[in-house]
Amino acid sequence: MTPISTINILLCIFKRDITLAIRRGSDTCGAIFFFVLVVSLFPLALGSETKLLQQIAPGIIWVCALLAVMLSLSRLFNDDFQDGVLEQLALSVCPLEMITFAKVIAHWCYTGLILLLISPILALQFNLSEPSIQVLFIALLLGTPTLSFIGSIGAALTVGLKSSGALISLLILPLLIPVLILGTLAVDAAATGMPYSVYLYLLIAFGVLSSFFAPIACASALRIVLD
Amino acid sequence: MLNTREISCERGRQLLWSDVNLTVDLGQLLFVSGANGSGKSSLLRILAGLSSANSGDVLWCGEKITLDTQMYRSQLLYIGHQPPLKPELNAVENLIFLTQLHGQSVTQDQMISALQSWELQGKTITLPTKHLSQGQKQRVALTQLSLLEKALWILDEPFNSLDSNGSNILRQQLEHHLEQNHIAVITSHLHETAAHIAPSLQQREIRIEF
Repeated sequence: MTPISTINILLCIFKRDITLAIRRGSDTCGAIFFFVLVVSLFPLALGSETKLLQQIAPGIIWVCALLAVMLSLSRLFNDDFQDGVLEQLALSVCPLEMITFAKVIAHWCYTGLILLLISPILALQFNLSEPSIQVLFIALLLGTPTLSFIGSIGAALTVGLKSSGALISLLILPLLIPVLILGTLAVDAAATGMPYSVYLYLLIAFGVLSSFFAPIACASALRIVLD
Repeated sequence: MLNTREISCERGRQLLWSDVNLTVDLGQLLFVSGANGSGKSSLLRILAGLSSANSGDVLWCGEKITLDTQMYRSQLLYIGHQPPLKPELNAVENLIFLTQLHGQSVTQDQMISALQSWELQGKTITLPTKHLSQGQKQRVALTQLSLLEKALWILDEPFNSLDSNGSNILRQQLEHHLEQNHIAVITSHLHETAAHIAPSLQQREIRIEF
């Protein structure tokens, strides 16, 4: 038996969450398929009017990404709570704040990151130009971690509740409006040839702030749940 | 040494118990018994630092456990009434995760021999734990006792769903633990006499009944 460092504990939690996400593939894929299907419904329903599709594409992709992340959030802490692992996480030698950080990063990898990788293909359905798709990709790369981080607060607050899904959305969606607005504005600006970097910087700022404060809020919420 | 100073516990605005003063010396076993809902698990959660008492303090080696939680946790092993296992992972994966949470890494050999001491081998340790029986899950969770070296065990209903063989192994583990001058706290809803648990544990046992 040899002691291991905090970083290794966090890596271990990260790996476990990824393994679990792979083993319960249907749940993980659910959110992804939701995203792909709902985004694809719009071009089908609105017809082939190129201009209209180009205009609404950023908004639709962002809203769908937001909802897909919401869908996947309810299990973030609830499963660990149900099978008693959350108590062990809370009693770990590693601070609960850092553990939630590792869990949220893992959550981003099996939702946000995949949405991000699929989005350029979906954007083609809306006939978005190449520079717009690039900016959409970067905006999602910078914005989706914020969705996971802020969303995790909702997940932590609703641990143990039966129908946590709707409540998480009610709690968290208002907080995510700035990310949504900045994300779509960046793509709109790119489409019209305007400077868009300011929106990306703001997205980064939101990401940094949320990655620092959300784990603290989550850990306090989880401690209250366990008390 | 584990101490409590006049702790009391309320659940749902109802006072479960109050003014509990305990002193568990090194090498002693605290056996908590009582009816369902009498607050045994609540006491254990308070001792583990998971819940906070409505009043009073829990002291470990003379210091409040809230002062240096990291130090306290590094010496504490708490197993709740439910084995903390992920159903999708097998026994070995679950135990690797649980021991790493305690900041320890174990070798494959240590893991296998610890599992064998709980009579777990073959298919039992390679199948996802959702396919195991309640007693087997309990054994997997209790294998942590053999893997981690902790000065304080807090076990909620550890004898639950164990067969007589499993109970014997747990008794041996408890005896071994107490002989090393460590402390254990266990609960049971049954009014087992100390002798029923293990004759050799009897002189090391202090009891509290709710």
